[in-house]
Amino acid sequence: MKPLICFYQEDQYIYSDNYVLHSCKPDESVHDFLSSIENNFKKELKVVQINFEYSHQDLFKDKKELYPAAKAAVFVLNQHEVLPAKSLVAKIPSTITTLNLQFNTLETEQDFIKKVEKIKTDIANGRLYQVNLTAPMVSDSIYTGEKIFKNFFEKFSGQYKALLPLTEYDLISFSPELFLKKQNKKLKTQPIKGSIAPTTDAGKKLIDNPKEDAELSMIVDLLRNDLNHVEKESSAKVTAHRELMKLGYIEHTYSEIEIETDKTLPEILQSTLPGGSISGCPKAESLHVIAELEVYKRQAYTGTIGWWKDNNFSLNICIRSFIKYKNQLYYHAGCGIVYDSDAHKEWDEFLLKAGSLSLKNTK
Amino acid sequence: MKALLIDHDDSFTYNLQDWLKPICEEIEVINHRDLQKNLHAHLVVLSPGPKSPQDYPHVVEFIQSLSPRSAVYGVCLGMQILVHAAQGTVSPYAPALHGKKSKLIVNAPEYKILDNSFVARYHSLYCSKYDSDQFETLATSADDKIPMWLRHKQKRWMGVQFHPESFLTAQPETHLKILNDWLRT
Repeated sequence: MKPLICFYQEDQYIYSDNYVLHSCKPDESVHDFLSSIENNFKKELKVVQINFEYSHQDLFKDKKELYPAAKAAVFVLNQHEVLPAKSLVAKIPSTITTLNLQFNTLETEQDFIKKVEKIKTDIANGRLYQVNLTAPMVSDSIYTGEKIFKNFFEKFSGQYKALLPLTEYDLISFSPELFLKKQNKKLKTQPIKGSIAPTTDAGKKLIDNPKEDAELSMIVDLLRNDLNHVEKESSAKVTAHRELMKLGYIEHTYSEIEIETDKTLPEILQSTLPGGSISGCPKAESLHVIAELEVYKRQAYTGTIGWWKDNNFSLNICIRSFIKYKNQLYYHAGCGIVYDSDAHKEWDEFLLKAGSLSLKNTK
Repeated sequence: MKALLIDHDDSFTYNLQDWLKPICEEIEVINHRDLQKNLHAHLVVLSPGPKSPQDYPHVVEFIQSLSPRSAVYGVCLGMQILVHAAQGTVSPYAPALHGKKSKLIVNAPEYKILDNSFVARYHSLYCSKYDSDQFETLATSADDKIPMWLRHKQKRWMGVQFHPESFLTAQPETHLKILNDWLRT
């Protein structure tokens, strides 16, 4: 079987080539699918993947799909190893070479800028406070998911990497963002907002920027809300705010919010998906704006990937991720648009998030 | 005390619920689309939310149908709905402030404890005109002098343009104590 890899603790990864893949059926809700997995495989270690659209399928039903994909999938692992990064990379048989990839954005700079301006008008009119606007890129590719994972492993730093061999496509994630982690009673989230190109004093510039401050602060309030929605019996607490994350190709600010709860994964996801940092604020209205403006369904991108066992789990936000479908390789990027966004700077940020990928800049 | 928290499809409603917990034995969260005339509560809280008061005529109708014994507390859009319901004017405000902080200038002598304290702001509209025979301006923002805190002189209505439930607001417990004291007068 094709190898499956998922981040685990610190610098440790789950590796498995003996698993059973369960996919959510088109007419089944993701919540029901996850609840039935929980009932049947509670004690087993599982790796979960859920698309962005989650329970909002109707809102996005007329959008174009880039590849065929189940709404959600769960790998139940029969056997697995836990490996540090070094042994993991050595275990993947493919060699490290320069990959011949040339990405085209599936949105022109002109269209992207028009959409940013439209969102800014909506914000000024009181319709909402922030929207995460995204678009895909595509390259021809002859490479396997394993080869892409191994070759970009060092270039895209980030704690929440994964390689999932799904039925129709391979999902390769280099996410730096933790969506939700539950350990016993403690449930935490670490939203990322605020980005800057890595120059000498980038960190200070990012921290001192009031636009970046507001962008993250409102997502912190939104995620406090989502955690307070999960559990009425306790209160969400902000345990870190505007910490710096240096990834080499980009720098970010992130915060951390925690709450105590006994709720299960399917219950928790009902109050928290799609993630606040990749939708917008207020979330309900931002999903309508995304459905109006984005051309393609996001599918796996900005959904979530992670491991799940008993009532403990750790899930990423599936960003900085590749989708290998037939001879195509997709990669998406996006930006949080707020009232004082500069449309051209947002386009630069969109390109910056492609890291070291070779991009043809389509005007 | 029982509170009815009307949610205008907002992403801060459950923070408001969490903030209100210490003073309410029961809080029922209800979406604005599901309002019915026969709902009862000691306190009705109007959540923040997207769009403008004109988009919520059924909420205006609902608060006007309440018994005079019910108190209404409006947050952000909630305060704008109160002003709109009393024939005041709500207008666009530039630059929009979302996830930003301002200091309060408190005019009301009984609430001076909050003078100069930071509060969180999320709005691109503001209450530009209202009758001073109806509303007392308890506080304004120190930087741009916008109405931040209003109290109705005849009805049991209070409204805040800022967000007392936000983690950016400096003294959420003091705001809550003031609300509680007002409700018990």
